Amino acid sequence: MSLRKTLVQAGIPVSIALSIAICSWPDDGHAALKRVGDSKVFFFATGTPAMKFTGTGSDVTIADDGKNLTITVGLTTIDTGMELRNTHMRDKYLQTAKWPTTKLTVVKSDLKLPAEGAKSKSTTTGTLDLHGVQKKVKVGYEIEKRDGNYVVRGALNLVMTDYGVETPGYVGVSVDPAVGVALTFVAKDL
Amino acid sequence: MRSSSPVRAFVALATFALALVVTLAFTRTASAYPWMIRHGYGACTTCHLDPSGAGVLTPYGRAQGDLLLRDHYTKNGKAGPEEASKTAGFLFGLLETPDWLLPGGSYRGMYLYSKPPSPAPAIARYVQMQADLKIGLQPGIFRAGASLGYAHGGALSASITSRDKDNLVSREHWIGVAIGDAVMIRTGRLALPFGVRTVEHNAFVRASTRTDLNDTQQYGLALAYSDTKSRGELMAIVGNFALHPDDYRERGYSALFEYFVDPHVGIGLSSLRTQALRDVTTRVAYARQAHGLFVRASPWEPLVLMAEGDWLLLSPDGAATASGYAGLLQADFEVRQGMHVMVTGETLRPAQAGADPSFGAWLSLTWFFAPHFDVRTDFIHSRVAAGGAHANVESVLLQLHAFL
Repeated sequence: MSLRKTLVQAGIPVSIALSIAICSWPDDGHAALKRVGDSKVFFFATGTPAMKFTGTGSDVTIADDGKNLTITVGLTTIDTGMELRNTHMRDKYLQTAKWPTTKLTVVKSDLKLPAEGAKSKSTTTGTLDLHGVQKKVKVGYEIEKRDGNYVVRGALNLVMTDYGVETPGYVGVSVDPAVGVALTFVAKDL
Repeated sequence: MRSSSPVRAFVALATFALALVVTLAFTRTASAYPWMIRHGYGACTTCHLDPSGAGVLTPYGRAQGDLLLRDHYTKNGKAGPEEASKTAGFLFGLLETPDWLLPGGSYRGMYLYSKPPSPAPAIARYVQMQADLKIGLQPGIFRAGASLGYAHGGALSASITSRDKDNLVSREHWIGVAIGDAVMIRTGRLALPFGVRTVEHNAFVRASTRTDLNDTQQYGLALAYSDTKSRGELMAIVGNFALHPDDYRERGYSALFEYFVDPHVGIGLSSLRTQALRDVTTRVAYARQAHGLFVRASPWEPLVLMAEGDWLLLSPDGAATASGYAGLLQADFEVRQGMHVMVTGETLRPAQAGADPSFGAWLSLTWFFAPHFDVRTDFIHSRVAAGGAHANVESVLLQLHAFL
């Protein structure tokens, strides 16, 4: 799945869903970012034959240590629309009892923050920690500043098996290990 | 006097005949639930052996049928985190089969009450709509499917015996090969790829285009494609070999293509053109066409909207081409898992010079109340054009469906 495809699915610019975001920071590093309002995280998976499904969640927190911005997504509450699939995802594949969250860390100075009323759109590289494995990932993001708040949308693609996650399958149907992830949230400077 | 009006008498007779035809034709084949797009299942191959839907289920389809289709008697009817019940399997799980062997079967019985305009008498009768056994095979790249059933009345175009009643019917029988996960080539007797493959075989869009799941299947060669963004099938038609002599058999093509804008929204195109040397009714050579659009959309999981509009063309030998149309709009609301309320509106103006449009309105309730079982009630109001006038027909259907 291409990054562009994930962005489009994420609602950039179509606005269906969202991405794993990044927020940019001023070079002086004085301001800290805090999430305000709702957040959403989505993943998009395809399967064989001809299956597609999404998972959604809202357990998103951000932490800003002045140098790095870390976005943490809770995996235990991701909902795929079917309880059995949720159970399989949590217990068999993501093993959330052991790794209940995934984290994306980006360097703040790599991010481009827009001025009030403007938008910025770019890509950066972050570190994704999933299933106990850390890997560099390319992240696309779009940030719009409105009324002092940053509306952040971002997306990335990952391959589950790269993180030691077993390829999911169920009675003859298998899920493609390539998954698109997207997230949106609103943040503001403190 | 009104009752002595020749027009009214003709209309009454026509509607009575229509109701009778509808009654006799009320056999239909098994389940195709295009509203499963509410769960992101727009493509059919995930759950069915037939790449365009309906017919025998794959093991995954049986599991989803248990998890997503039936009422689990929880607060919202949804299944819990448990695995699909073993009763989802063939014969309620009593007989375990290998993944390449897909046996199945369906029985559907219906009590029909239909009230044509006076003085035609009301019709009340039990109709055995379907009693079919089915089998699918999928070893390696090989694919095959077949059904064999008994029809007390109707379904003559699928009969493999030649009695006026009580026939053996085989609605489909085909062999094919799968090329990768996305492509399948098949030959044999197949349901025509066209429009929304609904179970309501007598819906105007299905009946007028002769693309239902009951007995309008034809022989031919079909190429099907399915992936996560689109699906389609193109079929070269060589005729329905259940019809004799060969002059009655149609040659031509039927095709559909559906693109998924979103996992829950599909937009499709259909096209069909066939010709035959003799029409079953008029005995005149003809060519017919149908071209249309259809949409399936689930903006909210409990709600699925489906629409189909088809342009109909009929060119009888020696006469000008006449055009008509058929339309369907259906809303399926799943009140709780397994319990559906459906509202359907439809219209049809046959491709005949001077034909007037007919209309239908359905209120349907379906409850998948147990593994392998569902019940359905339809209240149908039809305003049927006949003889330059319209007549109202009210019908109530009560159905019980069981599948193996």
